[in-house]
Amino acid sequence: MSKTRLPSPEQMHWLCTAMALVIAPHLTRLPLWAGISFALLALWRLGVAHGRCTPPPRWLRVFLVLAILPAVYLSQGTLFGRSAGLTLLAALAGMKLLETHSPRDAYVVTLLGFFLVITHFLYQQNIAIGLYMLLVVVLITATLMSIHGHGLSLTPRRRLRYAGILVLQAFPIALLLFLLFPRLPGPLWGLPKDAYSAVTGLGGTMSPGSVSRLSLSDAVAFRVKFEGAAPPVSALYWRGPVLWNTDGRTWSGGAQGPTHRLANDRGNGGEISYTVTLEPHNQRWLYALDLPASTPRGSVLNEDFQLLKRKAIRQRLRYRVHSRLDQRPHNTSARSAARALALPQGAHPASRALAQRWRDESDNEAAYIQRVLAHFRQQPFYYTLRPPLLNGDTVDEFMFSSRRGFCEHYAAAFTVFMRAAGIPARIVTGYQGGEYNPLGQYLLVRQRDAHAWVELWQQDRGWVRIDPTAAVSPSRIELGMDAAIPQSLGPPLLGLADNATARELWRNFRQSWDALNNGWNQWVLGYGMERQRQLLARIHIDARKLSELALALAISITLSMAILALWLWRRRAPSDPVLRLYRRFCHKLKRRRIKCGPTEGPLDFCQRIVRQHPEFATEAMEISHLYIDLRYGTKRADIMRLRQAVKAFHP
Amino acid sequence: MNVRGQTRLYILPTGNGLLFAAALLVMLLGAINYNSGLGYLFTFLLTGLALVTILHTHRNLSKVELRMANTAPVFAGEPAIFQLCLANRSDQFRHDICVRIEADLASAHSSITEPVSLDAGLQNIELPFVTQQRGWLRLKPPQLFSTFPLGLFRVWTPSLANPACLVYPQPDGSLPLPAPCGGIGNQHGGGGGGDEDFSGFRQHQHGDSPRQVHWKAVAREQGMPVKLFSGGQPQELELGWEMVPLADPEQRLAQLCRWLLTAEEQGYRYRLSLPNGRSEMDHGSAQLYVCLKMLALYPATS
Repeated sequence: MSKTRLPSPEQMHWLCTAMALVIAPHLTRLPLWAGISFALLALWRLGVAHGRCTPPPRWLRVFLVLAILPAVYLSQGTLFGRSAGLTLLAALAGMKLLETHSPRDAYVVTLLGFFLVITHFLYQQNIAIGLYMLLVVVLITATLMSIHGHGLSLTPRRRLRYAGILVLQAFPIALLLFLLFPRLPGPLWGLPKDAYSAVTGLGGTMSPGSVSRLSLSDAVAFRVKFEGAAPPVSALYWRGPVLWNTDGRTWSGGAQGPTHRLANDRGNGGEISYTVTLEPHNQRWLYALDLPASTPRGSVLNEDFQLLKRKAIRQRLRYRVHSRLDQRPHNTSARSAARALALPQGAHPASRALAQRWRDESDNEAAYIQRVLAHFRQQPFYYTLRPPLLNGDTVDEFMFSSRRGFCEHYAAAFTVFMRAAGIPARIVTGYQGGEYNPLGQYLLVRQRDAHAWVELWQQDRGWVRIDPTAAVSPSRIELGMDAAIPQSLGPPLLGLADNATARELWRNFRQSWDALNNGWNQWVLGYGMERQRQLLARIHIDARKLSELALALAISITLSMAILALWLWRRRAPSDPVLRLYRRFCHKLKRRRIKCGPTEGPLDFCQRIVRQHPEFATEAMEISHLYIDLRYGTKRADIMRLRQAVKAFHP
Repeated sequence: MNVRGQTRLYILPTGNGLLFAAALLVMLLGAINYNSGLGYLFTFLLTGLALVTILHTHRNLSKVELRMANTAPVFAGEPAIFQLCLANRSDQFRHDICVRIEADLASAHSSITEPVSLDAGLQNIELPFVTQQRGWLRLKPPQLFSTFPLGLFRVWTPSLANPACLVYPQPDGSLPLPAPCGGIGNQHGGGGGGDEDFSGFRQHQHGDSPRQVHWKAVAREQGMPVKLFSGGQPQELELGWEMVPLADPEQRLAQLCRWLLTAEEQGYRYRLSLPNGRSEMDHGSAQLYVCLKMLALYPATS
């Protein structure tokens, strides 16, 4: 316990190993100097512990401490925020490791280690990192045991085992706290700007390449659980931002009108109910099947039938919503529909000329629309993930020379052809299709399911959906992205991409993996205020009342501690099998009220039995003598004989 | 808990434990702010870990008893060696138990043993304790404590033992032994008790008669043994308070202590007279103990 004792080399090994393992996954995020200097400082400290290096001189230590803040500032540009904080923590951990002279110092290092464990979850929260960090926590706990000389009576293996048992026993309490601790909604203070830098998803605008960019991403956009049978894939149009305005290349803009109020026409059938778990995409809108018929809590429906939250979605969001596949938006006035005719001055001259000619040749609007779609179908247009770069007038170039494009090219060109012929048209972006996961019974929509289609205004029917991509690549709509562009589905191994069985196996594996991830997302990562409220309502706890939560927490944790205490203080059978057998013999006698006194040896006890209960004399003598021989004597007797004698003894 | 003499166990967080709690709070704030589900889970896991160690720490000291053996008297300045015996009455291993003993006096001096781990059974440990003053060194009941496994909580129990150690004054002073008041033979040293039957050897001490030195052994370079004789009536020595011409009572006691030791060693019969009482005229270890105890417990004048 003396405060001045230096940690032994063994303790330093524990400390350095634990710290290296907790920092290792951070190396990609840390600036190079931080990783290298941590490794050097740790190695130096190990060298000192083994007497191979001299401890750092005082001036160097002072210099290093003073250098940390400027170094962090120079490499990160700030002292605040996630990355700067992490760099600071790692640098401090290295310094403190070098400066470890007492058990107290070592203790501070382990605390920094626990902190660094938590910092990982500000960056990634998948199952793998969770399991890895669980092992790291066990290791740090064992390190904590080795400081202060605790558990030095244990071998390293037993110490790790003890730490593992501690963590295991802590788990039920962790779970109770996780479920019952009152969840607060948002950030407590302003999050640094770098918190959401890496989210993917559709933006609010569309230009050539903006959707196909996403088509290479396997990242999950959202998952959907239907309450009932899922509609066919070809009907799964997930409505996102609606685009009205164009500058000839980029499409943008949305609803100008007031918030749309839903007519209360619920409950007349044809309604599809489902729950979406949306990955954070740092935008305000929610995705719902075309056409949403309800608004999830905290959101509104705008004039374009787009669901909007008040704030950008920065955490996984779960919402229940109803849709009606048979309904079309018809809330637009003729005047505002005229906005859907605008084309920029002088843009797409060739396309507009062709559109004008075809319109003049067609009898009616419907015939004209069919003509344009037939053009896509009959002429050599290709649906491709890697369309050539368009430099000039994007629509004209696509229509007359490249003829290769992704959905945004088709949607843009088709809209231009409609508007040029006087038919109000707008583009809807979102996702189409998804992959049904039979294991988890949910639909998984990935970023590569991103899609763009067109809505045409027709006076009597409202906004009618037309998907020009379907004309070029019907399988894209009917079977989904995987069928249209199958390369993306093969396992990432050379030569296996073409093998059907391998592809099937790979698909199964991916589905089970995603089902597991979905459970993880729903119950570990997505467990927030809403989920807590729903779950606890089932056991009649109102999660909105702090007192109810506190009471539930207090009772359940006390109970689990009491159970653990009973387990820890339980009577254990002695490890010696001979003693165990003898105890069983005594126990059998005890039932006949023949009790072995606390100070009575086996021989005395035996003699007393012979005296007082001669009916048991032979058996008691045999057992006692076997026991005495096995435990104290020559140990030549056979333990099997003792076992049989005790077993056969029925007083 | 108060069964079979076992005292109560107390448990409180250590400084490290409080620091741990503060760290948990910061982690929780981070998890809330970044809305990190895994952050919550691991913060709560560490909370659970701390709660679980309460039970483990408490269990580690349960059914462990402290017994105390008598402590041999020492001279002031020498460490008193307290003999402790830890008994593990449970059927499990007990890790890293420390014993802390504190002086009863206001002096903040305390002594703590190295952590001891025990299998079932007994284990003896020695706890040295520095002494400064003559008299009874009475200690508070020793405290058994342990912070196993993680050092976040400290469990302790006061034992029922009342360890005490008699501390003699430090022998000091250079005054010669007073002349024996009666008996026959040499003037210096009543050594050997008598001079009739040879009874053995001992090393030469200042004041021994040259006639008793075993010169043949000296020639063989075996030191300077002195022949001892028994049988005759040993000379008697009166050692009194007023015989020491020193003003400071503590110095007087130190000189008397030195004389007593010398007189016992040289085989005199002796009697100690102090202003508050006198001993019998006797010799032997019991007599020495009685006299040294008188010195040790002589009331301080200040």
